[in-house]
Amino acid sequence: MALTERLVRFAAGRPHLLLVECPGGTPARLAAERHARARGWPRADGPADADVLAVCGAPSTELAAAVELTWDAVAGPRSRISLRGGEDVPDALERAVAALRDVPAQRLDAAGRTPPDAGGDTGAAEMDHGDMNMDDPPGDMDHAEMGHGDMDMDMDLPGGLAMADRAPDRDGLRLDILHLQLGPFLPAWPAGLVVDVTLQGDVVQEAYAYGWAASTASSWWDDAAGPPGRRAAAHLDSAARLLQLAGWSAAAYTARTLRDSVLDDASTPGTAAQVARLGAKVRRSRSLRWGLRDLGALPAERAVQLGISGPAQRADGDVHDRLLQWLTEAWAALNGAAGRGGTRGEQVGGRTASQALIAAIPRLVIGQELAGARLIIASLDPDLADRDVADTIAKPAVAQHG
Amino acid sequence: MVEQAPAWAAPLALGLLLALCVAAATFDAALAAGRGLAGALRVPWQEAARLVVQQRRTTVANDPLLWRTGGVSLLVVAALMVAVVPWGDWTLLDSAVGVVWFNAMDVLLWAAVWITGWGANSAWPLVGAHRFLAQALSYELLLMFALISPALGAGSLRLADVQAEQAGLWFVVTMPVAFVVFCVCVLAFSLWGPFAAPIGADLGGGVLAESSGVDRLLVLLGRYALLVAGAAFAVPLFLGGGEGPLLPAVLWSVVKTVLVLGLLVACRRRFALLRPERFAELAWVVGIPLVLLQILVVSLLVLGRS
Repeated sequence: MALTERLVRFAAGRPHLLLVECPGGTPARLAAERHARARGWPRADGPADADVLAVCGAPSTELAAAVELTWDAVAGPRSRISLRGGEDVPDALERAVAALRDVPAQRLDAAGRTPPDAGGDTGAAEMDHGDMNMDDPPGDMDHAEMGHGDMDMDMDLPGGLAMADRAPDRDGLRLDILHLQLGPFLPAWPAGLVVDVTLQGDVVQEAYAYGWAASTASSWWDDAAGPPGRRAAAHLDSAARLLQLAGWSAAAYTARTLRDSVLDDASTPGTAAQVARLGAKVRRSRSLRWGLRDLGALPAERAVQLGISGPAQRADGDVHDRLLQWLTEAWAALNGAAGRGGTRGEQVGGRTASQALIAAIPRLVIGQELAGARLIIASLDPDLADRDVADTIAKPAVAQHG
Repeated sequence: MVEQAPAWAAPLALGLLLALCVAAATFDAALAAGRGLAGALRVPWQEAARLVVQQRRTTVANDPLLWRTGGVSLLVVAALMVAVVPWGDWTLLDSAVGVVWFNAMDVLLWAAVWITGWGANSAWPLVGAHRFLAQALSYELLLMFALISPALGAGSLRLADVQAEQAGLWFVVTMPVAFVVFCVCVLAFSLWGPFAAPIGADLGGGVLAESSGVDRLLVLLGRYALLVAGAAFAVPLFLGGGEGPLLPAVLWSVVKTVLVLGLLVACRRRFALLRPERFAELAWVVGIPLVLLQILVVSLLVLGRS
């Protein structure tokens, strides 16, 4: 027993942090990332890898339910903190460590938990074991029913789970299909975004994208009262997440560090040069170009048709072009370029920039493998705290079989 | 000449394997930005302690037998690979088909990773497992050809013979392409660096998305053990085995293994992730012709010598 206690205390010195960001929680996430980096805490990829769950921002009712599912999936010893702004983060992290070290309380927590296989959910919040309504043909699903984690487990199937459906694939074969809900919480994922996908193998056959935003929030990045350099920091943040997803953690680390120093003081002379160096390094990387080229191609005129403005439109190309565009624009913003519209673009025809980006997701990800789809979504990076995005539900788009 | 080591050497070799795993994990932590070597020394132990005390998760309707078997088999496969490696003049298992043995163990990994992903009965690990199979289809032939090159050069599948053949001229000099391809394949079957897509962050951890506690520890340890096994195998295949001045042969083997291991570990932070679909293109269109050319060169060298 004494040994367990000592191990718990020792391990608590380097807990894995799972950041769950609600729309509007940007400042809390930025502060949490910064302090976690300073302490050398690794970031968890998902609840199974986490010790500390940090909820950034105020969750809406729907998101609060998703947070609970995520929390259920975190194996003990575990602790949970709620971060509303940037200021309280260091204290909250200290509290989290103290809670992890509190062995009696952890034992109590473990004793009070129902084993996950006693019915109910598998645990992982972003997991949805398929469309429970098996009578509906695929492609005829109701959003309100599908997306919100409804778990009617009245069927007599193993563990209450639906079996996989089957449907014709692009080559005309009948293959298993799997309905999967991406979001609202995933690493390097736009906060509050949900994309319901139908997969065959890991190829996306259908996709619906919509938001679970808190409707009162407004984008922190586009706040005019914010410090200068916020535009550059926003682009660096987007680039960092895409780089993380592309598996280049060293470049992602640099981008995040630069983002934080820009937010501290955008007028520091060396920063713009460092951003330029990062841009050159990213541009030079052949393995990155190899991995991202031709993915999610969005020519400028097509972007205009879709109502997309901002960097995604100006990039006039694929995921790799959009990444370089962010880095170029971040550098330009640091050199005093004013920049048009918000960080994601301007309002076009009554739709905000992020609404247009969300609406474009289905057409860009259908036909892609899951990894490609994730990269494409990260390269659009809609901000769901952008005004009115809450109500966005992209028009269902159906795969075009060639 | 390589001799069969006594039975008591088996735990010693296992200890060496684990020690090298810890060294690799420490080196990786030291390479992680913002942390010095002093801080890195604690990291593997903190991680291990954390996973030892962490609860083991279960999922709905999982297949515990497959799930747990898969998790532990990475480590077992690595140990079985190391068993046939000659360390200087000693080997645990002087197999006449050591080179083929390595390949057979690698094929076991296909099953190991697959059932780990399948057993959790959850979408993310399953997609991760699919990814590994796609990746394996791309690297497997490359690995076979890379293994054949030194065997062809030595005219034997016995590692001791391959090692002895390199007295004076290491195979890495005459078969650089095979050496590089071999290292790439080791990274690929260890799910390391650019080949970590099956456990990628975009899948919330992929094959590992539902594993915690000891189950996770075994897989993570198994990955390091596979890197060690690959590095240890490269030494008799390409780097002259225990050959070297001053130090005893067995120490030279260890030193070379550590150097190759360091190289492999460092690859993690150098490259972006290589998605399996892109790797397939690279492996089949570029890799296989190159390594076949390498085999042609080796064949001509062997013919010229005889």
